[in-house]
Parts: sequence; C-alpha cells; structure tokens
Amino acid sequence: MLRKLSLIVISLLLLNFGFLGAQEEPPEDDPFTPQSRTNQRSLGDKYFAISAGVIIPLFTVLLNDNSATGDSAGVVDTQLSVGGMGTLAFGVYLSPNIKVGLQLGGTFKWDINRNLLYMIPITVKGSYEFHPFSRMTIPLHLALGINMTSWKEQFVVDPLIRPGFGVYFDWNVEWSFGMDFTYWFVPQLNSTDERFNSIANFMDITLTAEYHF
Amino acid sequence: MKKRIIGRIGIVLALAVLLISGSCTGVGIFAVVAVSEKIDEGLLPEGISARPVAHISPGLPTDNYYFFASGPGIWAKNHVTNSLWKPIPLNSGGISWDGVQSMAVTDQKIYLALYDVNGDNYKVAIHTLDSFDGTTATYAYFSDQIWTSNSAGYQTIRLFCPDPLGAVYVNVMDHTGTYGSIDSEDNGFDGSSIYRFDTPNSASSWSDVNITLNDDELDKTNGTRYVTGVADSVSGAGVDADIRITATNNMFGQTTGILLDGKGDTVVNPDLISDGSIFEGPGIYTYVSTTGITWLPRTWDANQGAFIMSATSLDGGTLPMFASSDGITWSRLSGTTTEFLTTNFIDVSEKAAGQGDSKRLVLAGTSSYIDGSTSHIASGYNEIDITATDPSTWSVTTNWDNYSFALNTNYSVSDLSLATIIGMSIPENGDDLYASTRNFGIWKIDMSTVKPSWTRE
Repeated sequence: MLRKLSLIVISLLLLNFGFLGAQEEPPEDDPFTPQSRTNQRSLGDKYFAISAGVIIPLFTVLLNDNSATGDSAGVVDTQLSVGGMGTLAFGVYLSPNIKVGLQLGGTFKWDINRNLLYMIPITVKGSYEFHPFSRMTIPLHLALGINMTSWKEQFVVDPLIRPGFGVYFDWNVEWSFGMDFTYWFVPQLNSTDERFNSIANFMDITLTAEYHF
Repeated sequence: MKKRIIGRIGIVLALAVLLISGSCTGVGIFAVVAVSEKIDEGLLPEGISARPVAHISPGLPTDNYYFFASGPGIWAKNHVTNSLWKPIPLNSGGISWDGVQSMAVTDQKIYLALYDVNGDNYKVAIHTLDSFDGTTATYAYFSDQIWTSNSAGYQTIRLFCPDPLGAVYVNVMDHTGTYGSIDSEDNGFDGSSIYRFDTPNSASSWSDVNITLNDDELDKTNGTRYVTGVADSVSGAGVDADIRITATNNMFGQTTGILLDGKGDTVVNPDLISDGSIFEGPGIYTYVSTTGITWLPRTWDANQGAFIMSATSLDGGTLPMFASSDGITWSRLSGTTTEFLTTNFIDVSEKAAGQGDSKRLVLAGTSSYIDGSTSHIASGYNEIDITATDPSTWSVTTNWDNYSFALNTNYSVSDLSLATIIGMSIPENGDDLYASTRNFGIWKIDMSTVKPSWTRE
C-alpha cells in the first residue's frame, strides 16, 4: 500500500514540476538582456542534470542502547559497502544565483552478508551558485525530502537532508560538467522497536552533466 | 513568477511531509544492518538443498555421525570431531542408485526410498542405512519392496516415521505415464496405498511385520489421495486411535483433504456427518488439504499435548493452521495470513532458546508457493507461542521484529530468513537445531542459550 502511495506521490511531484517547466509567462523585466559571460543565468532559466557516482557509507548513530545485541548508543560502523548512485534533476533559476529543482536518485550497496540495500531519494534541491570565473560555477546546495529504503523484505520511508557543494566547468552556455560532493543525514526514527532508531550518514561523490535551456 | 514557483515548491514540500508523516513504521534498517552479525557462508556446496539432518544410534562408530539426504546422495559428518560433511555413495543391493526419493529416520536405521533411472526404465526400492564407519555405509535391501515402471505407469514412495521408536509408514503412489522427475509427484497421480512397518528398528525382513492399512480413501475406492503427514501422540508401539494421518489428492485442494487414524479409517467426528474432516464444532468443519502434522508433547504442562498441522490451501481467506488436543476437535491458530505457506513444524518449547521472552515456542517452516499468478516467496520460519494449555489461544508471529527465538540481528540478515525450509530436526534431542533448506543449505543453532545465532553448515 505504501509503495503505491509513494508512486502516486512521486508521480504528482514529477507532474508538478512538469508544470513548472511548462510555464509560458512574459519576463518581468527587460525581455532582452545581453549575456556577458558563459555561465550567466537569469530568472526562468531551466536546467536538467544527470549524474552518476559513488555513495560512501560513513557511520550510523544508534540513538538507544540495545541490550539484545550489546551495542550502546553512539557511533557505529554502517557495515555497508561503497555503492553506486545516479540522479536526475530538473529545476529553474529564481535569480542569477539561485536555482531550485526536484532531484530523483537511486543508490545500491551491500551489507556484510551480501544483502542488497537500495535507497531512492526524492528531494527538493536549492542551490546558490558562485561564479568566480566566466566558465566556472561553484554551487552550494541543500536538498530536503524523503528517502525510500529497501533491504531484504523491509521497506521504509524516512526524511532526508542532503547539504553539499560542487565544482562545475561551463563548457558553453548550455552545457556544464562538474563534480558534486553531498552529505546525507537520514534520521530513521520510527522503528517499531525503538532500540533500532538511528541516524545514518553517507556521502556521495558524483560526476554531473547539466543542460541549461 | 517567483511567487508561483515558491508556491509550487511549498506544495511539493507539503506532499513530502505528508508522505513522511504517513510513512510506515518498520524495522530500523540502518541500525539493524549496523549491528548485524557477519554470517559465514558455510562449507557445504552453494545452492545445495537438503532434507532434515538425522542421527541414528545402532552403536559406535555410527552414533558419532549425522546424516542428511540431498537429491542424488547422502552426506555425513562426524559430529563429535565436527568434521566436514562428506557425500556417501548409494551402493546397495549391487546397484548404484541415482538418488533419494524419500527418507524416514527411526532410532537405529535410516529408511530410504532409492530410485534408479536407466533410459526409459525406472525403479524405486526401500533400503535401510544401518551403519557407517566414516568411509563406507552399510545398507540393507528389501528385495520384495521394489517397484519397477512398465508401459502403464510407475510408482513413487513417500516414507514417514513420526516416532523413532514407533512404526514406519510407506505410501506407494501410482502414476500413469512415464516417469519424469521426482518433483512431479502429482503428475498422472492415480491413487495410492499405505503400509505400516511396525518394528523398523529390529526386523530385517519386511513381510512379517508389514501391515496394510485401510486405503479406501487413497486408492480410488472413496478417494484418490496420497499421504502428506503422519503424527503419533504416544511414543512407542502405535495405538491406532493415537495416530493421525493426513492425505489429499492435491496440495492446493480446498476440499480434498482428509484425516485418518492409524488404521487408515476416517476420524469419526462427534456430529457423525463429517468424518475425516477437520472438525471445529457442530456444523463447522473443512476438508482443506493439510501437511506437516506434528505431535507436541508439552511435557512441561503436565503432558497436555496437542497435534498441530497447516493447511496448504486457502480456507476462510487465509492459510490456516490447526491444533487439537484430542485429534478430533480442532482450533484455528490466530495470526495466520495468505503470505506464509507452512509445511513443517519443530517443537523447541523445552529448549532455552525456545523459551525466549517467557514463551514456549514451536517454529513453523515456510515454503515459497504460487497462488494463481501471484508468487509468494518463502520466509524462513514463523514462531508459534504454545504456552497456553488451550490450543485455541495459540497464535502465530510472522513479523521477525517480534521474534523471540534467535537473535534478530542474526536471523533477519541471514539467507535462512528468506529460505524455503524443507525440514527441521534436533538430532538426539540435544541442543542443536538444524534447519534444512531449499537452495540455501543447512543452518544450525545452539538452543542452550536465549537468543542464540544461526550459523551455516
């Protein structure tokens, strides 16, 4: 049931942002603004990004002592392998330096017993971009949303916070290529057994191609 | 435009918050993974399927070995020295047999239905494994207990031994057509017969202790069925009224199951109109197919024992399990669903691990199955709390978050938790429980402590 609900909500989210992309409104300011540098953006510009890379499990914070396993609350090894990750993102510029969009991702990794663990993050991602050079962009971003995790027969949905930054080379007006470094906080607080409440911490490093239009 | 965009982002965030707040509560995956145990992959060949681990006591050195059958062979290990499992040749009666079709374990012998396929010729025969010296197994061969295929059909054998000190039951299934596979027992099924071998531990000759039971409900006289399970409520020499035999003509039959006593007669119910059914009260009965019938002695509760068995077909919108103190009036266990097809039980209520969380437990081994177009994967075992004297209050726990037997951070991460369990056994009634699975090998757990961990053989 929850999976169906999740799919419906994901569809709504994507549809919603589809409408964003379809807005046909006159610019509020001067309809013609000369572009002075390759990476100059303006209100209403849109982007589509695709990225791939790795996700590195950092540590898990156990929030409670667990007498059954003898583990105390605190930081423990995730016991997960480095995994693969990919994302798709679409969004718009709210100003020359601020953009916001929706990002859909997927990751996989293995636990110590070779069981696969999948995560599907869906986030609203806001970025502030520095443009130190005409062909270089350094975005700082913060993504908030949900993280769907599937492992063996278990499936849970948790909140997700992903701060990060990137370094992009602006190949031309349309295309940018770069690398993103993003931290993951995944609070998992609603376990049926509170001894297994935790905050998982990951970092992903991805190569990204971004198309502006 | 900005306001509009920000408004839409607000909608998205609101939806996300709604989704999160309505999200499921489940196991804390990251914490479970973080504290889970690393499980060794074991030393048996990967992907092996196994029948229950067995022990017999004919004397040394055989007593030092455990055995299991796996399709084309039997394996043995010295449990005293904890040696590796090694395959044993199936050479008996001058023939190298192709595989084990069925197996039953008495106190001193392992009864085997061995089959041999040679071109279009197929035969199956009953043997016993009497002793093993670490290298060579000694088999006995009942020369009059052999069935050979012909143009009209062939036979397959199902062996049962509900009590190591009691009888061995032999169900001979007739099939039309040509023998294809031991997995195709339902193919061309054309009725069966049943025999009882009353002194399997001592007799060397078959005929003088072989008793033919009433097989009217099996051999097409009143029904066309095969036996799915036998349970004996009294250890030692069987008393017919104390024995229950379950039979069906289709594992997934909703109306073809029947309950027989030790003579092969239908169990007489109090209302005298539903003999052979699972009687739940006046006017309430079902003929759903069942399997895995087991007697639970419950010695710790003034020996107020009970039978337990599981339906293999939907009945009342679930796959029910039934329990009965007298083998006549049955109660349905609560907590059953359509997700778990149970095929076997093991009583661990006397063991320390089986008393976790102040419960007395029975483990119910599950099997994968296909319901029409829906595939249901197996789920290791479920737990049944049999603490209460009245079986009608017993319940099944299917969420391993709430399990009491093994350490959850071990069991939940193991392949066992997703395996079809072919059978479970406690050799010599010791502290070690073995779970034999389809494709995931054999698992062992030491039940002398609370919340122990499974290891792979």
